[in-house]
Amino acid sequence: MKNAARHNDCDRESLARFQSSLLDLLDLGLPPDMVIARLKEDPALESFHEYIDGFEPRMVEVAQELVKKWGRRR
Amino acid sequence: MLEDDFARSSFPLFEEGVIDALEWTVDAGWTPAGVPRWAADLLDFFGKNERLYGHGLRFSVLSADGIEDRNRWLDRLREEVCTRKYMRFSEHFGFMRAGRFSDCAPLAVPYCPQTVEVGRENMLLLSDAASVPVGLENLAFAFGRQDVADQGAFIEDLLSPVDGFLMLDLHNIFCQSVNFDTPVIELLAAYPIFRAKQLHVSGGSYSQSSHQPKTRHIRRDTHDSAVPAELFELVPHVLKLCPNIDTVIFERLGNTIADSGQEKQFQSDFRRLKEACVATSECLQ
Repeated sequence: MKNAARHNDCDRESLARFQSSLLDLLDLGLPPDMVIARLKEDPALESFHEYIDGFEPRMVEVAQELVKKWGRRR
Repeated sequence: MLEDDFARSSFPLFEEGVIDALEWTVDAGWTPAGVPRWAADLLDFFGKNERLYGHGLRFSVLSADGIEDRNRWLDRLREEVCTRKYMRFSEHFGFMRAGRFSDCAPLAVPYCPQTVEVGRENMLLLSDAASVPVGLENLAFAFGRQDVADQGAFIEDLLSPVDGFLMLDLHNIFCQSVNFDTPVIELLAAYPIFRAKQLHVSGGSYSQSSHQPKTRHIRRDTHDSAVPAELFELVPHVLKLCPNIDTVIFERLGNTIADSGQEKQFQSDFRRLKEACVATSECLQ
């Protein structure tokens, strides 16, 4: 498994929480810097902090547009 | 494919007999309206002639939850592959379902042992349901440079247990090249291109970020415009780099071909792409 140790490992439950929190925050219409800050404020997402540190605000903005255009809630 | 503008623009190409293969996004037909007769006949024809390729949109290979949605989608796929013959089946790298969201566009995921485990589990389920070789399409979107750097190795880790194929999307690679100032050839070097069996070629668009100088735009994989000249220049090189590619798919979203000028551009792009493929194939023989 090449380079899979690049990011700290996590468990499935925290991965699910990260993905859910990410979509929720992208959907709120916040400034991208605030989306990044809110992700890092959540203690349950500590294992993703290194990954989140690499987020570029301009790409978070793109993700917000994608969620706005294609996102469907249950 | 089901939209009027797409049908109108592509019918002349079907009538000329210049379309050798068809890729069908199966989820598009899983609606209450189903698949119209003309489209079903087209899919059946290409299926019977072993020239039909399946593509999924909503499986969400890297979602950690949403198991019930996943299993429902797999049940639909099992029904689909009993309805018509697909030569291969691909899905998208990334996740698009989590928590309150049942659906979204694919987004990137951190590359770590747990996410690889989730993806491998789902690829095995996909392979079992599809009953044909399965593959993954590379993603245009990345949250940052790390996603760009990791995607090739991550995809290989997901494909190797199922001996899967790479659905190489050249426009998605182009988007990352533009957005992260990395040459296309350098990006391709990080991918398991020996696994590339199919190539996607499409157009896209630029959007402006509030976080960049106004002179710099972000390339988006919107599938809504002409194929950029850079891609036509790249196609022969990519086909030589990836000798196992046997099918090239020209992609376009429906409801994006607004007038006769764009119809002609769509048809011209297809013909130019086909000429490039034929010319490269003759060179390689």
